[in-house]
Amino acid sequence: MNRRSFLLKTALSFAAGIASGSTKGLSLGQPGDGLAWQKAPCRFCGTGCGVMVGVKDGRVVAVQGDLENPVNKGLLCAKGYHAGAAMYGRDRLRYPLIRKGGKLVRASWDEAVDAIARHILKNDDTFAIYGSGQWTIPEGYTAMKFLKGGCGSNHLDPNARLCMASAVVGMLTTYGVDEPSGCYDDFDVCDTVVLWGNNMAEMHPVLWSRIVDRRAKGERVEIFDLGVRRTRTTESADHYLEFNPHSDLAIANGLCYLLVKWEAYDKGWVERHCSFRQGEDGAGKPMTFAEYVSFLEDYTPEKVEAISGVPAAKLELLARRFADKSRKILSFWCMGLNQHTRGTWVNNLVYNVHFLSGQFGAPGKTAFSLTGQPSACGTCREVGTLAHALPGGRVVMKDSHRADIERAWKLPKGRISSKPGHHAVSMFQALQKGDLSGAWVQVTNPAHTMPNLNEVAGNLEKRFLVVSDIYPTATTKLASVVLPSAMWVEKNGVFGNSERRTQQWYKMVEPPGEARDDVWQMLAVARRLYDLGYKGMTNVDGEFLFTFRDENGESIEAWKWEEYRKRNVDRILYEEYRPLTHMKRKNVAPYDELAATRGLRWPVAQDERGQWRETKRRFVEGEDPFVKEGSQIDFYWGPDGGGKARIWARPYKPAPEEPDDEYPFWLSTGRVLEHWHSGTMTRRVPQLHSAMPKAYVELNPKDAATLNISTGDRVRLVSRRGELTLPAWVNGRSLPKAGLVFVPFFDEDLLINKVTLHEYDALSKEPDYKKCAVRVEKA
Amino acid sequence: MPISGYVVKAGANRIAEIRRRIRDMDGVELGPAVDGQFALAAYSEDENGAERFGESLSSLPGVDQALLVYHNFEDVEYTG
Ligand code: SF4
Repeated sequence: MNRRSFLLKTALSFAAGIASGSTKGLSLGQPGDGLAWQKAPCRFCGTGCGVMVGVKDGRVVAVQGDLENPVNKGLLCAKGYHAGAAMYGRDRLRYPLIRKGGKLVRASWDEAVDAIARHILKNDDTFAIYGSGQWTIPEGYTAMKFLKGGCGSNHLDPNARLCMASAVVGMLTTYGVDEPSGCYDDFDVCDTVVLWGNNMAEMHPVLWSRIVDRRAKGERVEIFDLGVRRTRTTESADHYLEFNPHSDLAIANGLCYLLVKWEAYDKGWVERHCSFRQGEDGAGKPMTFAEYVSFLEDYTPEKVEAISGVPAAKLELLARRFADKSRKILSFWCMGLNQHTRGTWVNNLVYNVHFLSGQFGAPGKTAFSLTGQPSACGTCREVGTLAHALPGGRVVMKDSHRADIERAWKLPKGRISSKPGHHAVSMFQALQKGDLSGAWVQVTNPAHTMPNLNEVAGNLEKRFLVVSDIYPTATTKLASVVLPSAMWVEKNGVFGNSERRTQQWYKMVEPPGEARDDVWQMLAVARRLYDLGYKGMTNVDGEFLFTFRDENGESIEAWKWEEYRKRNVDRILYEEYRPLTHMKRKNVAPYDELAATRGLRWPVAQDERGQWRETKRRFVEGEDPFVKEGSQIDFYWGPDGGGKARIWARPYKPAPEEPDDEYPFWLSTGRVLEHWHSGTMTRRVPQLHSAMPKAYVELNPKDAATLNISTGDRVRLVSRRGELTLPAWVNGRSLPKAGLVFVPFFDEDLLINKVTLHEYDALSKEPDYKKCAVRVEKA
Repeated sequence: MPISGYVVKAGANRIAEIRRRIRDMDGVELGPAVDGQFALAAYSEDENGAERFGESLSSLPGVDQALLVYHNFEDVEYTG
């Protein structure tokens, strides 16, 4: 048998095993194929699929879905499948570059590290770090310690601010602690799925398959799709509720109105587990149930129909499902609710619906916020790489929290500032104005992804901008220093996915050229600062802040690349971080336990035999080790005490910019199946690039006819902030509602963020990429 | 010579028709159908061919999802 026939047979037997469900006997990796196989989580989305990575001659040459990983059970989507190929674009950054005479020229690591350290030395309080939900946990933790512990500044925020901050603040204001209660196992047992502005079929295809597969097996799973455009998800939905942008607030309140009016809400559940709250801020003030009922009077089906365009009968149909106690209902959302100037509120309101109906805290009954990035949860939310946060759910504003971390990091008292730093949008506005002197951007591309780019991300080329990345991007073009980074399995890593699962992987291949791990880059700059006499990088014992010791107590010179690469510095950093997760009962599993498994869902606890047990559902008695006996559900961080979560009276208020005579269309932006965010990785994979080479504008066919626009015509979109000309697509992938146009944001050559709005949610500071007003002209 | 393995999902009543269409494609081997899904392996001349194949698979009438489970690209050089 030749090699091709052998591999074809391998591929077929593996796929057949998965398709038939008889995976017993199927190996992890394929014996006899001459490849060394190891596990890693996919580095693309927050689903956290397990990938088996095949290496030959120092190069990744194959990937397959990891059968042992309960997240995906062997399946991958197109992006995960190409995770290997995304490492091998011809233009990978291989050497440090420094801008000299206006041009980026090759430099040594020593020169680059020195330039960064010397800038920080003089500007430590005006230097920021802008990171990412693609940071590994050790990377985010190092950045946090470097800036908050070393430089005493809190100007650290991730791009995750742009995608899930509203979900975070939604949970904090609802049950007092971040991250979902439920897990993916709920997908396998729910009987009703409600998608709140969520195109799951294209954006989370593997999770979607867990639901649609059940239908293929004859199970009845009813799907409600609430959206502003018909998508591939809608094709599988039983009911499509098309709504006017921003009116989701009214829809959620309308469902609560009906549950209360019909007396169909779960009185016992609500009395035991909920308190009522009103107000526009995060704290609010108490209200009675009677006051809540009177608040809901504004959301009769007729009034909701007038605001949202959803027919009263359809709203009633969905409310009836929530009123049916025999059902198990699962709500999903992602950017549709989060990228919203009332993102926190609308997150609160979805919990209201689930709490009132008692659809929470049991198998198949939950409200589940999906994440877009592989470690938005693990790194940004758990480590807490946010401008106001400290590791493990702590915040800089609390004296005791700062004191905890100062003790853990052996910092002098008062080193950590109590003042929150700039959040993402504010950080780039401060750079634009010159209030910040510089920033170190890691694993993200803000010159592409910031909203309202012309205003928010201007002047970056005039600041001291350091960019660590794997490919040239819109941001590296503006940089003073570019550092080539190791990617995915070119380094060790730990990610945390959407269902609280922490997953670990080992380095499998060397990075190209002189590319190096981001952790090492930060350690090298920290050490250079220390050598230059910068006090911030010294702990109370007079040692370097990042002093690591081996098993014999010998200090490890991890800032030296040759030393770093011999060690697993990730393990040291992760184990330093792990105890910090205990305060908020987010106990993550030990590193070695993660290495031996396909990850564990926190909080973990050891049983009497010393085995580590994960938690499927938080706050649920019998599942979560921290729940009080006899309480059934215990929101132990509930902000009002008594183990209760909040039901919030949050009103519908119009969006800050709505269509008018001059700008008569809504513009909504988003992702496409083939491309990862700004496309810097996926656009280098020719097969993904050829499938979706260029951004486009999708129009409703009626609008297209009125404007005399056909597929392929060039169309100019003009907003109050900027304009963009791009090809039209009519009757394409999705069908926007009349009066709305959709543009994907992956294309660096067609930057739709020159047109978008930078208004953000007052509580979460997450901008609204989903709604602004534009004029549509045939170019 | 990229080699790919897929699991194709479709409504049980469409499977036979979908399989008939795919069977005629070059370089494709089919596994048996179970519960509205079946396995398939394919080789392509290059990565672009692999992509076009994947795309056409996903867009065949009646196909709900074509999920990839295996991909070997050991003789493909640098891309992009
Ligand atoms: S669904 Fe997400 S995690 Fe899974 S393979 Fe696709 S991109 Fe990767």
